Amino acid sequence: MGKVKTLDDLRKLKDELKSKTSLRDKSEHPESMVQIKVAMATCCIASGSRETINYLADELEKRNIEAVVTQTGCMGYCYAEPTIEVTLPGKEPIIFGYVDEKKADEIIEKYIRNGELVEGIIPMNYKNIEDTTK
Amino acid sequence: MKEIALHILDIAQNSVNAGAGEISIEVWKNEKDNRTGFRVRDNGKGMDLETLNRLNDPFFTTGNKKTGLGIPLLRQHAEAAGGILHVESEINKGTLIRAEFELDHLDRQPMGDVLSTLISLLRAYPEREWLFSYQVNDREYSFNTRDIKTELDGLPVSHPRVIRFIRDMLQENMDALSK
Repeated sequence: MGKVKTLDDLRKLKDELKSKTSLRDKSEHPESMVQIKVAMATCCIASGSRETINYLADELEKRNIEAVVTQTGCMGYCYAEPTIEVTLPGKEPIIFGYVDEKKADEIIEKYIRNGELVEGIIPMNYKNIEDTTK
Repeated sequence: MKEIALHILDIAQNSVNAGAGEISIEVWKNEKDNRTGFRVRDNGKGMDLETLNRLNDPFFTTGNKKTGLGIPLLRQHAEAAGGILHVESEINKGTLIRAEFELDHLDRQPMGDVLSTLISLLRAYPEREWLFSYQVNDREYSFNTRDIKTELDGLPVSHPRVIRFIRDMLQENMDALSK
């Protein structure tokens, strides 16, 4: 077994990362990136949202997609957990339900990469006639 | 909840929602005492007496829904496995929640993936300070984000490479304790 990682190793990693000019703090320009919120209340956690958030964060990095992945409370769609809200730059947010790892993979490849809608959308963006005539 | 580690995530989420800037998570396993469990302590807004008295009511919540299942479920799981749930809280000081289970109890849930729980919290709330202690019998490994942030010198804790580093470091140290 190799040596267990220590804070000294972290210092080396920091020097390496800081020397890369492409590095920037994502939180400075979140609107220019894909933003994903994963619901993480009790109902969501019991349904697997921990695996969903970790999968999304790992896979987006592996696939070189600049994104900010954060958590939010229960969005009220407990029947469809795990739920996530995805906002592509310049677009309205869309909520997807039943997002396990397989569905998360499909959302990354189809919606995030190509803007193609996939099954499992929760229609929270629906506007009624009063809204549209205001 | 299928794992104790998911309860830890749920309780830690409550700490975040209570506005805690520092959250400490301790997980232990003691074969001699036949006990395992965890403790989450925060410096959030705390709970008043009325809230504390209603913690076991699954239809009471401070959230925006009609149910508050986290604590009642945890208490039920702890007591079903020969354990206890202990809650202390003081307004504007914080909250401490300790859950204990009998280690070899047939009805005890598995501890599960504690590491995955910690990583999801670090990813989502890198601005908070997280303290983590993992104890196996009389051996302990501890970790805190203050030390990490000092080393990082402004680089975000939630940077994917940093998260991967922390995950590997925690995994190696936790494995070493379990051997």
